[in-house]
Amino acid sequence: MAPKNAKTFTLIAAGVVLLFLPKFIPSNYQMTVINLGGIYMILAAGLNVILGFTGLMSFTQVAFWGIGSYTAGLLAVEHGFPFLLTVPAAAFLTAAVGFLLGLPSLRKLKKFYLAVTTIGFVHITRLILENWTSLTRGADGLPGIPKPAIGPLRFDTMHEFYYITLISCFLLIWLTAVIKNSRVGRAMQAIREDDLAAEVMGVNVFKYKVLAFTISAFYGGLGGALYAHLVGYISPDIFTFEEAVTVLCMLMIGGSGLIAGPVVGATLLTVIPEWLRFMQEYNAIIYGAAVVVMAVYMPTGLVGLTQPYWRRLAVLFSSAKKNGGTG
Amino acid sequence: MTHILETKAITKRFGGLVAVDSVDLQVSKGEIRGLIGPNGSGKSTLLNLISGVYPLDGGDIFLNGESVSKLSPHERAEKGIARTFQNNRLFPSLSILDNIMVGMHARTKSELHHTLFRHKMTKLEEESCRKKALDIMKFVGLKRGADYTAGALPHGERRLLEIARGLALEPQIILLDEPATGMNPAEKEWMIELTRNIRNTGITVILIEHNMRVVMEVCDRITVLNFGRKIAEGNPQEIQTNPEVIEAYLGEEEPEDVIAG
Repeated sequence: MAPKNAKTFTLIAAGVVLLFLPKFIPSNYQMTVINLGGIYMILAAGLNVILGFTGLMSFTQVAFWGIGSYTAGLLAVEHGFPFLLTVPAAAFLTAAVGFLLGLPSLRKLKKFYLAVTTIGFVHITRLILENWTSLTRGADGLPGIPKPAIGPLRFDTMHEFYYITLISCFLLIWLTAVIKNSRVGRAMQAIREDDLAAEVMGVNVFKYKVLAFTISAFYGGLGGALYAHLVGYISPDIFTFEEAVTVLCMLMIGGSGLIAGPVVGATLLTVIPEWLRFMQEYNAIIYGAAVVVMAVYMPTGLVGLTQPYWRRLAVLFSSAKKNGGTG
Repeated sequence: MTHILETKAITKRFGGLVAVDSVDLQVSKGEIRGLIGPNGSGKSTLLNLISGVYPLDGGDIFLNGESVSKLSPHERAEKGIARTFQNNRLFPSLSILDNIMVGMHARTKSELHHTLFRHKMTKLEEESCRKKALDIMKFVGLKRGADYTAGALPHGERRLLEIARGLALEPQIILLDEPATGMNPAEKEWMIELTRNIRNTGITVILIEHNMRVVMEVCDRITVLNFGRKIAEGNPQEIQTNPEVIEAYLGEEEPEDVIAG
């Protein structure tokens, strides 16, 4: 009970701070960075389902991000769809793409081979976005994507957009928690731990791999749609392999498989580069080194490090209770 | 008597090696069947064929008279074939409870949409699974807290947890691959009792075991494999006195030695 209370308290405190955050941040630029961090958080949360829960190395998150961005952007610019339609349309279309990609690639391909396939998909997606000019306008990109409006509510400034980012992040992270603690989530984690044992215990391994892949695509597409409306201009050169690695770093550094992993990872990797602006050229090296260190010495990431802390609290409280009871 | 499990001339080849060579097996409902043989005689391969881990190269497998040869491993699990592995294959970073609850996967129905829309069934299922899992822990003699991480368990308890996970499937037949290996004498004693208790709940058991004392004490019938072929079958007394079995285990005896001895 005790650590649950401590956790609840921390979460409520964090919630209050997050709710009033825009009041303390005057700069438009800083608010943009925060919104982008939120979108990265959504991408990393999607990666958490496929890599963290199910154990499949996938780089496709950035391709799904691109597909979601272009779906939402084109629907809004060319067809005048409202924000409340472009976002779900982008999320579900991207999920469908993820499903169709998963069907052939998840049946036989494992580990390394799957990772290579997903890298290929990232490049192919970027090439299609660049060269299918009649649809995407090619390398010129797609400008003029409108800011979100929900009925009379308008989200024209970065400070206003923040609340869309906040609610989306909250819902999508909470969703990963719900999935993780369900029958489906247990099946996914069983696959990560030992897919043969899971199969023999009655888990349809292929089905849940495809499901995890589809969910991660849904997250990518949704994050992409928000991104398109946030920045207003998208072009194919945004959705590069480097970005896929950034999302992977966020998850690994935060804590793969843990609900708070994407939150911590995306926050850190959004804030720290801002502090380290003067050594921007070295960011890639620092990220790379951090991931290697994490993978070798703390595979559960930074959030994983805090778990003994909660456990110690639990022991402390329960022993205090016992002493109180018997003495 | 009806045969719960029957194999007809099942064969498995690895390259030039015939690991399981046209083996016929008839296991009656409610029996404890021992499966013995020297190292490399094909015992584990046979279990892998029955549970569907390897595809067959020939022959057919029947569960309750129905062919399961074409089914994938998870479909066979659903039909009621559970198993453990020779070298422990738990889900190490999951808790004891979650390990057992994965075993209940095939017996529960909550999919993602049930969970997301807070379907009543999901809540009931989770609660009843949790209760059942605690009962199974008690049944196999796991005395830890249910939240204990499986990978941190000592060897003997891991084996028990693997059996618990198999029982969670509510199987008709459970295949135990050397469950008593590496256990201390007290744990081995408990393993014998547990195997009998499992049978007494109506589950048929196939047991691979190297420890002859365990095999002879607990099995109703024993099948002996050597070089992938079935060389003998019978009750423990018959097997202990079968010359072919003795030869397979000890090598051929020279007549002079017998006289000298």
